Amino acid sequence: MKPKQLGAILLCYFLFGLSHSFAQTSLNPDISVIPRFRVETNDGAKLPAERKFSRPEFTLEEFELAVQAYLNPYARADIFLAKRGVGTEPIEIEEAYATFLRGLPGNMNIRIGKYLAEYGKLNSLHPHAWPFLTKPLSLERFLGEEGINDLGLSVSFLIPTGDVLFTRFNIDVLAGNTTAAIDPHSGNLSGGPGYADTLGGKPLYANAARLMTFFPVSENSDIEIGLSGLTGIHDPYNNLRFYYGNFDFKFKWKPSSYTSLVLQGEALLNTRNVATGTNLRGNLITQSLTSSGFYVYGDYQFQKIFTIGTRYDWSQSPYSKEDKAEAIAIFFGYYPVEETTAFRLQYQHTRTNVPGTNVLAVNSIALQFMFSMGPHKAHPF
Amino acid sequence: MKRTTFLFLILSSCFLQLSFAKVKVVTSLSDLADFTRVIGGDRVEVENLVRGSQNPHYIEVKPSYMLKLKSADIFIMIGMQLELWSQQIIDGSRNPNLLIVDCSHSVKKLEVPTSKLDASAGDIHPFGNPHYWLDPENVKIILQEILEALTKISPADHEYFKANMDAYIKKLDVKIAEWNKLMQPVKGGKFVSYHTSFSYLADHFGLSVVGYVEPKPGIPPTPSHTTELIQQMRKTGVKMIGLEQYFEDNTPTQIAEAANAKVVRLCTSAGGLDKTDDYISLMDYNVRQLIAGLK
Repeated sequence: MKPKQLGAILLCYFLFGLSHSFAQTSLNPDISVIPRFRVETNDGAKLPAERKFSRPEFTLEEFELAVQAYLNPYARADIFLAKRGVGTEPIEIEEAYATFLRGLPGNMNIRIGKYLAEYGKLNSLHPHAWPFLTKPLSLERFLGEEGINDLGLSVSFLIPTGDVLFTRFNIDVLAGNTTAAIDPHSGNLSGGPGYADTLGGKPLYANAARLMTFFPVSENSDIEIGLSGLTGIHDPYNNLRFYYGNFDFKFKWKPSSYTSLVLQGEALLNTRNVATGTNLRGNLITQSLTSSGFYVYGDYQFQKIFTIGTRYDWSQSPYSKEDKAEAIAIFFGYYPVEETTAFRLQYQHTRTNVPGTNVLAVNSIALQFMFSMGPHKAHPF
Repeated sequence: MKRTTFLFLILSSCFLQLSFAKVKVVTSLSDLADFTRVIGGDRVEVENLVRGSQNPHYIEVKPSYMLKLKSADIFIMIGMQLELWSQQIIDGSRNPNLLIVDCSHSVKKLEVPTSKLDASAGDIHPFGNPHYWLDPENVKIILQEILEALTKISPADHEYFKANMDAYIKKLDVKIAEWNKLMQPVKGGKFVSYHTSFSYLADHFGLSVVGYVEPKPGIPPTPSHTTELIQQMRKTGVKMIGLEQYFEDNTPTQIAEAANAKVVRLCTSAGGLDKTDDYISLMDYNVRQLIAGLK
């Protein structure tokens, strides 16, 4: 190879390399890490006379890694990886989706991937953004530990409702993995919308939708209300369907940078046909079942770095009106340096009333510590 | 005949509506809204997202802000990452035709970091201190950005906008001369501020901000830093703490008492305090307060 040719190749390589490294630097996605640690003690499900608090247990509640960036002028992508515990627990894809923000007819947005569906107010919010430590009982019992977090496609429209009301409608087509949250062989029928399809192979598509509207009440206060629905197959063996309806509200009053009050709640109504047996002809006998649950909480920020709040939960189970649970929690937040470091302390009293067993009462005290590195964006109202 | 008249009336009404359609502008700060009203006159409709009494660094992403941007032609902001919350609002507005104007492009920036940036330095803005609108000379750069944006949306009104801008600059120049004269006796004065909000204001009037109540930008005061600051103020004879309208005065008051100094409320944005309804009255107020504090 002639020296001139070699020189030209080297020059091209150098120039290309420079531009490439610049692009890498300037186009790096936003990367954030948010670990949450917890120390917890509780007096278990024992009789009152035997009640004794356990040795406090120190756990890594969750380690969240967020990678977020615009893909191009029209779309952005968000990936959240999560790992629980410091042992061999797998790293899970909590969410991984692309959102098409611009260029679609009617200014609609489309989201594709695995994501927390916009169902109610709390389902789509990551736990680090909650003011409390535990998921409300109604959401845990009816939506499961992971919530409605599924593969799917979401289409969102803004509904024209004047200059004061902001109204949005979302509709989701979900793979239905969320509905297969309960293992029927475990005997525990609380903790998700429906049975796991242990035979496998049946598509369990689910659909979710939410209509929300937001409006300012005064210069310092706003309200958001929402109506959501979810339907899917809860019993894949008998092809039985469930329907959830959900009402949510959030009121926020923020007269200054250091003072705010949030009042929020959700109420869920479940209707489903449940198989109770077969008749003499071998046909399925079903029974209609309706159950419900709700939570409501208030969180008051009384200084820049301190918050205090309380929450009340009441919930039946997806498969039984008699299986009831209620809880009251008091929580306290300390945010010494903005949102980068947080301490939360929570006391919760939970009473579970399962037919045929004694009422179980559990007191728990938990301290949570979390920090966040990186530019993970603030959550909207 | 009746049909023709009817069609004529409909078309005329459409034409009139188009002719008088105002340019819809949303600004981040109230000061930018004031400047836009001055240039745009009755041919613009202006709203601002951040009230003068609010800290512009920390604004909650509300759907109502998205709604404002949804129907807007232009969104004008300070830039330099002051409005870190703005991108979520812009995305949420779903307005593909929105013209986004960052007024900071031609500003001579202060406190631009020269070393590696990380959170140990507090809430550092990587492109420099963004509070540049408090130097009245920088307002002329902002006005030029606004003029260009309004002209892009409504080219036919360029002369009208330009005439309004020129008139305002004349008025501003008179006020700048007046403020400079009033501030002459306290030139070279030193003060402490809560946050790094007044670097451009101090730079314009030849003052020095020699310390901050915050140990690092955006970081709440700590006892050790407060002690150090009191000692520094005693040693250097600083007699004034300039406090932004949205910060609590507990810690600054304690520091001022210990250092034999006084707390003076300054204002960063129009409408943040009484008698600061627009930018000129805001600067009138700040000049009065600085003179009172530094004398």
